Amino acid sequence: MVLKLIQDNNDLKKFNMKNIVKLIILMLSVTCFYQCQSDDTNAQFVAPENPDISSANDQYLYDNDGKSLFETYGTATRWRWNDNFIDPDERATPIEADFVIPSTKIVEYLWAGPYASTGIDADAFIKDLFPAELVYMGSYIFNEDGTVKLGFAEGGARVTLLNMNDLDFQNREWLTDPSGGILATVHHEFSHIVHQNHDIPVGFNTISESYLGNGWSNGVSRDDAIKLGMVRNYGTLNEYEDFCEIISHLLVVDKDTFEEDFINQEDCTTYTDAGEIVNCRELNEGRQLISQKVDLVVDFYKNNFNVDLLAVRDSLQTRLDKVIEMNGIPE
Amino acid sequence: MKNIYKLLTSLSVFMLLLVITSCNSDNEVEPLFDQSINERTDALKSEYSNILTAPENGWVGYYSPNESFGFYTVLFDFDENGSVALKSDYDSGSADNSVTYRIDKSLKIELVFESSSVFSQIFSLNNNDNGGEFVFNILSATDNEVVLESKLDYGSDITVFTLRRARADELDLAPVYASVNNISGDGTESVFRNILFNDEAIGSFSFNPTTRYATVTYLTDGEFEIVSVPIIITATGFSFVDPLDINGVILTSFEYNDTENQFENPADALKIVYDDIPGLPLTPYDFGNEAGNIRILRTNDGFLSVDRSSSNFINLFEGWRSDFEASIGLPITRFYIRDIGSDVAYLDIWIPVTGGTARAYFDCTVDVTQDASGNNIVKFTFIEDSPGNQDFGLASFFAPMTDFIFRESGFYVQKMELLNAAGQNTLGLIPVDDPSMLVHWYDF
Repeated sequence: MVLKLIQDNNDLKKFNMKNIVKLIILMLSVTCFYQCQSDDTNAQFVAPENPDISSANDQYLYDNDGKSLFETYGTATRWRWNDNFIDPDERATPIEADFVIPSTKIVEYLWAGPYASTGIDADAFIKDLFPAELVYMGSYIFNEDGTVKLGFAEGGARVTLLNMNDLDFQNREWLTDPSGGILATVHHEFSHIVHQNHDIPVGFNTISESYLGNGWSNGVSRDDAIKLGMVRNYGTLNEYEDFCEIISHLLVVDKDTFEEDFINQEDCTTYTDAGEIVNCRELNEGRQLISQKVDLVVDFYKNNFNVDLLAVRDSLQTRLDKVIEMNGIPE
Repeated sequence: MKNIYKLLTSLSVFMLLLVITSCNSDNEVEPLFDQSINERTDALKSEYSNILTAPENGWVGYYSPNESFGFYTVLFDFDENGSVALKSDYDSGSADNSVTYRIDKSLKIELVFESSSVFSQIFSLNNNDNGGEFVFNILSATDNEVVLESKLDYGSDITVFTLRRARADELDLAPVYASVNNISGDGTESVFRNILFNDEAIGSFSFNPTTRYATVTYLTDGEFEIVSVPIIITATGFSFVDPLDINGVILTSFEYNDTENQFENPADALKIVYDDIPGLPLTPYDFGNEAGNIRILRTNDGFLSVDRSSSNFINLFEGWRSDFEASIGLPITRFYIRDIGSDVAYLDIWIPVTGGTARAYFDCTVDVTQDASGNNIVKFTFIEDSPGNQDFGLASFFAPMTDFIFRESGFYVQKMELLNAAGQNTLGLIPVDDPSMLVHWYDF
């Protein structure tokens, strides 16, 4: 319509095209830059001035003579149920209210504590990377494909701990089982935060020839994983899960068992069956790969953060034995 | 040219005015509500909070997580500080506690039980796949009724849960726990539980305390009808959620008679009683012609079929095995009756020993007769002088079970659920003189 109007005009030859373009740009600029103003207070987040911390749980978490997770690490701990912390198609249950403080003591004593106890830099490391948000839930999340979600880390800032309603200080399996123990989960998830902030060691992802992707849950045994150079079937998913599984196993599994299962070379001459000999040799080859990864990870922590992971492991193991012996967390 | 400039200038002014006008917050449009959405939400939350905390005795509701479950009684006592005391008859009150609650707003106003409670315990059954809920939308709330709707259900089976003000006499749930036990039975009663109308058996009754479903079996035109329906358990008895029609006789509710250990509805001339004889014909099993051998189910692990032997029999059987092992130093692992269709059948009892299995044999005859209702009754008679007998000189140690099998009264025979997908039979043998002793076998 505008084009037609211009073409019909007798002054078309005299028309200064540049001026018209300038005018149109001016019109659009005025339109675009004019901003609707609003004094609506909903447009800004205003933190509550006096958050309700009247419950014993919240006092322990937020206002505990400078010793709470909030006061130490700036961590907000969510124990009251909120749908927003899991996907809409996932199902989990709330934590027992009475388990909130014991769970937090586990976090303090067996997660953050082993780092903080091994040196100033390790203390700074855990303070720097400890998640801004912890979420406690009572049950596991059972996936439709038959797998079980044990916990998860998101965005390098939030860690969700599951199955807290089975809390039992004397149940070593609940504490340390690599495929579901709470300590295996927290150290696995914390390792995600580490690589989400600092990546994984250079060359880590090329030590093993390949990863299985989503096929990790398709009948992959621990021996299958070891032969590939991973400590657990979930580690065969990708290099990031491999990284996290190696660290969680290194810290949580007792030293002798870890070395026996994942590092030391087995004497294959004790076997006479050809199939067993081949199996033994394949496991040994996988252990060599795991050993290379452990060395790389330990060096990575030492060189980048001055954190001695083996000292962290020793501290954790000593503390773990105390917890089981005392059936509680030492004061 | 001037006209073009004029046109563009006018257009510019018009657009500018249009933009400014559209952003003017002082327009004269009449608001639909006096308050903002946040103010209205806060007002509604406050109103609901006041309603929930008002009743002196709190609230009571009958809760079912899904259509395959019966109902649990739940008592709520909300306080103004965000705590609610929850009591229920779920697992005899083992999940009772006080938790914090929150009235919140997402798509609707919702009531959230923030930590583990009876609701999350029921929710957690079947790996969190029980259709339960611990977050509810508040559909409506008045001084006398609160209607909640599950926020966690998807699909068509969405729980709606109605609360009413609780009466003082409803606050003690101990009588309800007792009712649950009365309906379940303690396993020592007869396995024949008959529904009587004017003292005539019209059906049989059973109850699953986990799902709170009652199963009623009756005959219509000679065909078995089996109906499983939810019930609500009260302090004095129970009621069907929906009345149940047995050939024109309507079952609604029953009260427990402690003296007679039976449930009654005198107005409707109905009773549910333990009886020594089956009220209805038992599901037929052609003993001796279906298969040649039977084995007690509970001596074999790994079957899909659940062991349905009665508590009384299990106590006898396991006590015998335990005593035998304690006395002889050897376990008993298998218990068969073999060659049922031949002239001489035999008990075959397996005792693992070093290097193999010792097997005790007790030869017997098998006779099948029928009672007045047409039920098969099988009797095993020990052939004392049979050369095939082998008791290793330990007859007295086998006696608890040989006496049980070779009883004078014989056993009612009842076909039970199939053992597996291949359609293999299981059957019950119930002593005629002690119908509390149901033994569950499978045949082959």
